[in-house]
Amino acid sequence: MNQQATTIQAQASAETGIWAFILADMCIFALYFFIFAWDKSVHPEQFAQGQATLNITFGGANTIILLISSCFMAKAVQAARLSDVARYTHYIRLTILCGCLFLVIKAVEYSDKLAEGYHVASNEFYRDYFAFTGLHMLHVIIGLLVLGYALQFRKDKQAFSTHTLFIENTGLYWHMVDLLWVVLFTFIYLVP
Amino acid sequence: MSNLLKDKATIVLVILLALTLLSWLMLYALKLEPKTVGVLLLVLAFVKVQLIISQYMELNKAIFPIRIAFWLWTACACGISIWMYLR
Repeated sequence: MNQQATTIQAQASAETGIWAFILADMCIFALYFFIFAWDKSVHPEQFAQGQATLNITFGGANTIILLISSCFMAKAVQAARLSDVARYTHYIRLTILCGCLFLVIKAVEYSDKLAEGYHVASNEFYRDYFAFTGLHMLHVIIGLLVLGYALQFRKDKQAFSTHTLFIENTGLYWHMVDLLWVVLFTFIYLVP
Repeated sequence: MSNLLKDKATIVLVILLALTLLSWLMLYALKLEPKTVGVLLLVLAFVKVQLIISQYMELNKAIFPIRIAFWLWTACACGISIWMYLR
């Protein structure tokens, strides 16, 4: 009974820990949003010109891809809770596929910009663009590595149920990556 | 198809995609002041953020202080972003 109580307490602490970690990361990104808004108000013409050089189709496609990946991740978590290994594997693979597609589009977009002669030191707009989307891309890469690790749980069906908390926490992280992109896309590509 | 529509994750995805489409339409179809469009776009983005937090991240399962902290994050991030954009 004592052991069960200790396990429940440890799980609750782990859940609170991941929420706190995600909140801290989101606070750092909130600062990036504020910096971007500040710079945009200080250099309105430069930001308008910079925004006009971006390909909104790439940004929009990446937004749709990440939203779909979040749906797949939510379904993977549901499957993990039901110990449905086949469904879990299917949805985790689809989430990873979406993440990889996001990176491919981002790589094409970056190489286009670099080929056109824009880089991180070109001006304030491109400094913010490369810094904030680059940091977000780093989060996507970390998320993909964790998802790759979580995919390995399918191999041991007996121990699968013991990994549910890890899978739920991975899901929380992936949804955070998605929601941060929603704001970055709006600020960088859409807001006039 | 009916099973798909009963699934909460899919319904949330449809709403999120519809809001994304609305953002695009707002940008090109609405003949409003650019700053007004900007504010509407940011509000819509944070509505999507709140939807992801509440539905996909299942914030309601977290402890009360965490729930309050995430609500505050959304409100502050949205409010301060708009204020800085308009200044």
